[in-house]
Amino acid sequence: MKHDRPSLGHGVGLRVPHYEKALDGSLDVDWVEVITENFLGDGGRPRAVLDGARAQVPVVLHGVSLGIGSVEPLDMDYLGRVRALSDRVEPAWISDHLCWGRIDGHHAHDLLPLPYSQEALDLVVERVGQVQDVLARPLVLENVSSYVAYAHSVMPEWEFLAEIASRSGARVLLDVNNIVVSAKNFEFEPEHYLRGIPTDLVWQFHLANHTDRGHYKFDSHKGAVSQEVWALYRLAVQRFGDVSSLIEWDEDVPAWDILRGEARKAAQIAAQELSR
Amino acid sequence: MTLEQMQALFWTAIRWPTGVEDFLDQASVETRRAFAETFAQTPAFPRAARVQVYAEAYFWRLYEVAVDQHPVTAWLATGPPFHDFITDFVLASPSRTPDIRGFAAGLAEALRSHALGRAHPGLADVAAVDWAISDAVDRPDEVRLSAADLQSLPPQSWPGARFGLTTTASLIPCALPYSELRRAWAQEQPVPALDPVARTVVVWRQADHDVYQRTLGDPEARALGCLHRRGTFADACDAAAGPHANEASPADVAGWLRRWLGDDLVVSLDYS
Repeated sequence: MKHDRPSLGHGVGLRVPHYEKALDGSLDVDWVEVITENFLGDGGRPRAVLDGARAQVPVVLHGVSLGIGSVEPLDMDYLGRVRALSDRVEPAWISDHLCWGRIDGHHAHDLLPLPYSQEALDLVVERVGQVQDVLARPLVLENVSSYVAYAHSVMPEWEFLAEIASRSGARVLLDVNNIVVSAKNFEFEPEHYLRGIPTDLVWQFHLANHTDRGHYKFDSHKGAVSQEVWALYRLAVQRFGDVSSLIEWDEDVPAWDILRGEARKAAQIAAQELSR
Repeated sequence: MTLEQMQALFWTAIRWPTGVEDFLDQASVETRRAFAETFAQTPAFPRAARVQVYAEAYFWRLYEVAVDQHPVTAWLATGPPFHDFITDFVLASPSRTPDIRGFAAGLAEALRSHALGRAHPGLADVAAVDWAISDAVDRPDEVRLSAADLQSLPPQSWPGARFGLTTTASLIPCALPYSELRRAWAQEQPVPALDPVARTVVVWRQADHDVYQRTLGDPEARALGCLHRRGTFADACDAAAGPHANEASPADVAGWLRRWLGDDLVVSLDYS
């Protein structure tokens, strides 16, 4: 399989406890991803951290507040600030989530699920086009963990995601942990999800842990990547090939060596699967 | 049901301060029916419990941000009354900023008119200082003036000289000893005895990106406040001297100015 997607290797989500690694030039991972909204300010340590990281490794801007599926108009001020940040940092790409989160000018600061309906699909495709016009680059959309499904949905999530990407030109950030979480919460086979996404659409994987709350799984990003997620990651690499992969660990962020070890583990697994 | 209606229903349900079940208990028959027709469920995981996952995440995420950005306030007021205040604040002031840190910008003002703030004199002032520290973190970078930059200032121009302060600087009236409280909070000490007295705290970010705060004596606070309002050096000396012209001398102000320069508080000098 040959794709035009860049291959960044195996990186980590850069979080506050490890900002010093960006400042002192010791980021010894292939690449990092930062939360876009944490770097929209005009100066100070965040800007220095981002500039320091960018000077060392490729950086991806990963947003959480776009609300691509919200009904109300896109926040053009926010998008303009993301564009300005992008022009300055020149990220490898810009990603956000396939969800909604903004209503009446308010932000839920959560990744709220969409119904997989024609109305939602048409809305998201149109808005992805608007976003891509502002950003002058493809948007990379991530599947979210969810706990609620809508009676109005007329297709499975993977079909919804693939259709949006195909129609809009967006790429896909496949969060392997989110598939595991939603598979438990909605009783589907995670492999079906992988098989439902065309291979040429996927530009990135996310790997993380979740919390098992008995009758459902919760996307906590706490702890090392679970065996269940590693197992699905193997299948994802088999299907999609060499895809830039990233460890997310947001709760009780561990020492850098542990975090880097998770990225190295992802690299080893990918190498094993790609050499088969 | 349209997508817009679904999102409105979802938003209303997760913001209900006592939970989704309570929201449904108090909702109209039409709303309960719409909820049932909108959200799917399984026997082991009913729809209200599913939506409740989002309701809890919504509140606790904002609660944690409020605490992170107001650490001393939260430490002083810890307990159910603080939880109740944040519940009221989240309900009354949903976030309007893409950056979640902006959500708590109005917390200090809300606290002033809330029962918790009225019961604890000075607590809202502490919240205002907490917020100023958080707000200074990513303000624009500026080139700071140093003492050497003053060598070009002719002696006769000193009275009319205007020293501009960094945009990261805030001067905040605070009835409680913020610096002492923050030290105690950072060292996990017990809350010290509180002595509500009018004070001023200056918050600013230095060139090394660290944010600092310092409680000022009254004459220094008046002098620095004068510069903050773009007053001249002579205005600052008059303000520092006080109503009886005996609380501080121009030499005192010059001494403070050296400190302000050393602290990276001063970014511009204008004179004719």
